[in-house]
Amino acid sequence: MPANLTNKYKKSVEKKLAALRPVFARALLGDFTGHIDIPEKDDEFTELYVGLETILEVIRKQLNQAQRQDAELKDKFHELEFQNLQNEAILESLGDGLLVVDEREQILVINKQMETLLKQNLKAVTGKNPADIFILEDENGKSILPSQRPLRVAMATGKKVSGRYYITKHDGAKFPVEIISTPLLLSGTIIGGTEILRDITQEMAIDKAKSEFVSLASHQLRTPLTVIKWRASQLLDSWEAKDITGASRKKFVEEIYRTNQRMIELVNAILNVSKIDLGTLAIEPEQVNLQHIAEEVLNELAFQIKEKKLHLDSRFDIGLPLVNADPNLMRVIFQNLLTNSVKYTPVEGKIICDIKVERDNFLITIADTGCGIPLKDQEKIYDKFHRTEAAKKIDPNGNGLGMYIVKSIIDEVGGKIWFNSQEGEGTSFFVSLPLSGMKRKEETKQLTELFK
Amino acid sequence: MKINKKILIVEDEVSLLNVLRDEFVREGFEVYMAKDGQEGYDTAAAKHPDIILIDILMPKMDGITMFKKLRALPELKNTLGIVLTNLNDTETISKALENGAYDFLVKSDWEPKSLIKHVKEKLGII
Repeated sequence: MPANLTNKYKKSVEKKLAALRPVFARALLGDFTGHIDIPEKDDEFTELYVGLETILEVIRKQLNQAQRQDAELKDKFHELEFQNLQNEAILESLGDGLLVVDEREQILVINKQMETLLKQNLKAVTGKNPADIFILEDENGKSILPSQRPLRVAMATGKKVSGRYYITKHDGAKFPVEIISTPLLLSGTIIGGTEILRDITQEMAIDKAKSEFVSLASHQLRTPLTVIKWRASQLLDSWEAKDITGASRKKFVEEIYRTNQRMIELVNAILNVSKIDLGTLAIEPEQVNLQHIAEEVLNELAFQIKEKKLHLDSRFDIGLPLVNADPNLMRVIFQNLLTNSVKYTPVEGKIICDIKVERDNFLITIADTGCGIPLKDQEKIYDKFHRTEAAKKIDPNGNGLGMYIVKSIIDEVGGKIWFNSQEGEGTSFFVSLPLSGMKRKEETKQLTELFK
Repeated sequence: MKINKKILIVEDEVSLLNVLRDEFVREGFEVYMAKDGQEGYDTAAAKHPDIILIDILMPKMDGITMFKKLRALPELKNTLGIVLTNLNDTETISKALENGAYDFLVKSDWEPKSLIKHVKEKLGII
C-alpha cells in the first residue's frame, strides 16, 4: 500500500475509533445508555460496531432488571418494616401489659407496658417461664400454684381464663391485677399463649372509696331515721298513757319535722355526690345574672342573718355582665358557701359577699368572721363527710357533703376555688369562673346505671 | 320507782341523747350523759357506771377507743359496754367486740322501750 494511502486509512480508523470514545467513557463511569451509531454503509468496522452495541444492550437489560428487583426488594422491606412497626404500635397501644409465650411456656415477647409493670426488660425475661418472673397471689395473700396459674390453665385446657390476682414483683412491691390468659391455637394445636395484665390499683381504690361512702352514707341516713323513729315511738306510747305534756309533744313533732327536713337535704346531697362520682352531673347553662342568684340565696338566709345580728356586706360590681352558666349549680355553690358562713359565724359577726370581674374571670368572694378552719383540717375540707370539731359543735346535724359538692361542681365547670382561713378568726372563700361561662353537658346516663 | 343502777350514755347526736335520757330517767336509772369520747371517758372514770351505751362515731375520741381505755382502768374492767351505733360494717363490729364491747346494736333497729328492756336484762334486773 502506498504511504499516502496508508496514512489516509490510518486517519479513517482513528476517526471511527474516536466516534466510540464518548460511549466508552460513559460506560467506564457505569453509564451504559450511550449508543454506537452503526453506519448505513457496511465496512470492516460494522461487525465490531454491531458486536459492541449488542454487548451494551445486554448490559443495559441486565442492569434494568437488577434495578427493578432492587426496587421491589426495597418496597418489600419497607412493607415489612411498616408491618413490624404497626404490630409494635398495636402491642404498645394496648395500654395493658402483654406477654407471649411459646408452647413450652417460655416468654417470646413482652410489650413496653409489661416491662414497666414488672420493672423487667424484654432481654432479661426472654426464654424464661412467667412463673419465674412474678409471683401470683389470691386476695387472701395465698400464692397460686404454678399448675393453677391462669396461663398454664389456658394452655392446658385450650380455653381463655381470666381473674383478679395480686402480683408480687422481684422488688417485693405488690399490686392488684386483672389477668386474661388466652391459648394460641394453630389448626387445633396449642403453639403458645398470651397473657394480658392490667394494673387495677386505681379501680380497687375507687371500689374501696365507694363502699366506704355507702357505709358512711347509710350511717348518716340512719341517724335522722333513728331520731324520727324514737320520737314517734315516744309519741305513740304516750298517746294512751298521757304521761307526756302537750308542750313536749309539740316539741317532739317539731323535732320529727326538722329531722325529716335534714333527711331530705341529706338525700339530695347524696344524690348530687353520686351524680358527681358517676360523672353524670348535667350542666345546663343559660344567660344568668350571678348577682341575682347570690341575692336570692341571701334572701333565704335573711331570717338567720337578722336573728344572729350578722353584719352583711354585699358588694357587686356595677353592671356585672350576664354569664352563660347553669343557674342551679351556681345556686348550690352560693347556698353552701353562704349557709356555712351564716352558720359558723358567731352573733354580731360579719359576712362579705362580693362579685366582681377580674381580667377574664368573675371573682366571687364569700368571707366571714366565723370559727375558721384549723390548719390540720385545711387539706381535708373538700373530703366527703369531713367536718371540723368546731363545725360539729356548732351544728351537729351538718352532713359534711357541702364543700365536696361545691368543689366538684367548680372543677367540673372549669372554675377554681381556694380559701384563706385562720382558726377562730374567720374564713374567706374565693371562686373564679371564666367570663366565657360553662359548657353544656347532658345528663346521659339513665337512673338504672346508678343501681348497677 | 328507783333502780339502783348507773347508766352512762355516750352519744353525740343530741336528740338521741335526750330521748335516751328521758326514757332511762323515767325507768328510775341514775343517768349520766356525755357528748364525745373524751367526756365519756372522764365521766365513766369519775362515776363508775354499771353500764355504758357507746356510740362509735363521735368527736374527739371514738367510742371503741374510749371503751378500750376505760377497760384498762382496774375499777372499770368489768363494766358492761353496749355499742349502740348506726355503723354496721363487719370491720367495725369485730373491732368493737374485740375491744371488750358486750353487745353491738344498730340504733335504727331498736326503739327506746326495747332498748330499756335489753339493758335491764343485761343488768339482771328483770
